[in-house]
Amino acid sequence: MKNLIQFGLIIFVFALAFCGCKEDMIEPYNMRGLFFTTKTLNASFIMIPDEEKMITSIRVKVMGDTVSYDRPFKVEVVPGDGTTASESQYRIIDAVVPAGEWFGSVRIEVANPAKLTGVPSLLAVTLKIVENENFTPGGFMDFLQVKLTWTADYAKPRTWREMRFFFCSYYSTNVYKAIIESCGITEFDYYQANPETGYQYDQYEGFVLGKKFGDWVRNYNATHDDVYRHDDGDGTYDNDGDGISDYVGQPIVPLH
Amino acid sequence: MKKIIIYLIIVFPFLTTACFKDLGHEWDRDSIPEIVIDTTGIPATLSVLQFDHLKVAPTVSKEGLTAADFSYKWYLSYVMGYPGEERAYMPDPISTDAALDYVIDLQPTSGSYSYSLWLQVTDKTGLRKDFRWSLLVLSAYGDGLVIADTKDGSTTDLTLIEGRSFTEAWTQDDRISRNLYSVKNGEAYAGLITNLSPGWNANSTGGKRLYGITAQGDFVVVSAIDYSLIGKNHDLSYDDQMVFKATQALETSTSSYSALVTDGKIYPMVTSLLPERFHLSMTENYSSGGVTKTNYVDKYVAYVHGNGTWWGIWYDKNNGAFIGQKSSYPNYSGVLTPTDKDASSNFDPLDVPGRETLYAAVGSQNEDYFLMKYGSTYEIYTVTNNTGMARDKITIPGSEIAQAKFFAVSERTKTVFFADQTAVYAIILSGGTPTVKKMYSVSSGEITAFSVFRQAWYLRNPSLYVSGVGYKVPIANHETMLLLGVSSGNSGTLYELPLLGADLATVDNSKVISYSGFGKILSISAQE
Repeated sequence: MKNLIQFGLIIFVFALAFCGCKEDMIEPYNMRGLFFTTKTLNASFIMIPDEEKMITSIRVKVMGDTVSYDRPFKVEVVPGDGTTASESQYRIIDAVVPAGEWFGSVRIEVANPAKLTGVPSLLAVTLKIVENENFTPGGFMDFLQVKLTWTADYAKPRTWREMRFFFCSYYSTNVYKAIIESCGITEFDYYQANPETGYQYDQYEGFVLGKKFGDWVRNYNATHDDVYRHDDGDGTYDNDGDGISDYVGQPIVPLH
Repeated sequence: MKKIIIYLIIVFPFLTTACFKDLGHEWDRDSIPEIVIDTTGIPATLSVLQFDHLKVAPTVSKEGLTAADFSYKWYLSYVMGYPGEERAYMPDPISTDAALDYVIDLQPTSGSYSYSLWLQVTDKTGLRKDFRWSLLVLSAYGDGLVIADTKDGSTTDLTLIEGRSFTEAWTQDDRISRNLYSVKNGEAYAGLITNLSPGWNANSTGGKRLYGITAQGDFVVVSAIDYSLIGKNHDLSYDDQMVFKATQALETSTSSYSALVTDGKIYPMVTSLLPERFHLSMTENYSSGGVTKTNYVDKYVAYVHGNGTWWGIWYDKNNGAFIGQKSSYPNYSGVLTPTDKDASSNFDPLDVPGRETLYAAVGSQNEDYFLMKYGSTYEIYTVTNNTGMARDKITIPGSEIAQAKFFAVSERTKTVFFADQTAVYAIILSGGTPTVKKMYSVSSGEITAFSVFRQAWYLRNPSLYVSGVGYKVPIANHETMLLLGVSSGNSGTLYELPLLGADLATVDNSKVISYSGFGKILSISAQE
């Protein structure tokens, strides 16, 4: 028994000695991680009502370094409530992170609901990133799926959070209609360049567009019996909890 | 137990081995000789004139090796800045020679930005040693005088004169660089640039500019680094509704705004953008006496260089009033403010209806000068730009002013200069009674351009103009010399007229210098 204790002690001491030999590795950073830059994205045929199809892009961002070659990535459709479109109503064209870039995009061709029969006006498809030889789903865990909706009607633009600092603080379809009418734009890429065109607005161009929007609203107010009002809302500023934005029905106040 | 202690003593050294750094390899490493790049005599920051040869020849050695045992790669960044990331902007080696001799055609550097030159030396064993220099690229064209002229009556070209009269620390013979615009852009500018003034782009890769206004009121920006066309009219505006009937371009101060007076409005121009851009015009409405009034800028603004209390004051033609903006720069969203009067004012600045502004500028002693036409009467109004208070209304005596085509003031004296087709005059305001004095007559041809010489850096940053160590002092001709373009048909001569006396109302005829060989001279400006 005594020898057994001695032997046990020796083993214990040796174990202590060897624990310093193991390199304490930091959990490796997911250098192949890829995630979407948004959780939802809306597209609208309102500017091209006669078109049968259009192509829209969803941006992704890599966790690791850039490389000197294009890196395709893989997405899959997530069946369920988030996917109301059938396979014939959309087509994934490609999904690539270009050489030297931290951002990439998946391009999807979607069909105009107004040109289809027997379909709702709003269609949706939910995508998720799946592993391939270049990337694994990783990064911001809430951003591994994206829900793309498209409609023949007005849809809240992808860049509304940028628009609200230049045009109007509150979103409504009437605000969006006036932006399109006065400025001829459907998106306002201020924080980041447009994934398709690479164009990025600065604040000074925003001032000019905001003034055009403001002039349009002021002209409307001067030429109509009633002022231009919010016809609906996006659910924000709902202090009474009725599910409807409190500003619905209020006059639209331009920021410039 | 004794055995346990013995075991522990035996084991203990093993437990502590991780507590000591293994220095065993240090000696071996130090024994390998390094490549030595000797840069003695070569500054850490290199500078070279644009389009000139950059020559760098460090001495490379390594114990036991000869010159033939090294290979070289010289890399040069093609963008300024990005310290620590330069290598990303160096695609291919520019040379593989031991000594670099390379023509630099990069854009000149500005501000604190520089390019990087990177040398990689590899020996026959594969070991490499690097060295990096900062590189400043200097403009091939320095400060001096730019003359816009036309040889065909419809297009404009630019000539730069660098010389002792216009250029700091210039000691050699004058250097005249002609046709700079057409050489750079392939052809002369289509249009007549009748108003040329210095400008500045505050972007890190921007730099010195020239602002031009044509006879038709178009606005054009040209780089004063290489004379490339930066843009014209709507190229430079986010507002596609902006109307270009420009009358005056303003390089206001060291802040990131210049401005343009056009079609009765003032448009701030954001000079931190590339290219510089107009966005919204300044506010048009202002409150005066409890009434909202709509402003119409009458062609010219008296604007303060640097940070003034009122950066600019002008005549609002709609309301017959002198108004301005109490701001250090043209602020598109800032309010406009009427000027005021006090006990020492001899006119009401808000009750001067029916005038036409012929000229407006900052004169001496913080006074803005406005030359106004009222029917057949010509008047000078002065308003202080630090208080916004009206000062004097002066009726210009004599009949000469009725033929005036060009005007100028010097910030050094209370004298206003004007020129008609053949002569230059001074309106001397320092005495009790204003007098008009003929200063100079041209013997042939007609005067087609006229200005006071004012160094361009002073316009952009007059706060540098403070006596003392480390500050800039303008050259002697600054504000004390008139420039005259005299033309016959489509040929012209530039005259510099040094001025004498406290009033600067006398031309020093013994020192008049002329420069010939121009087309019809349209406008004259200093450049940095």
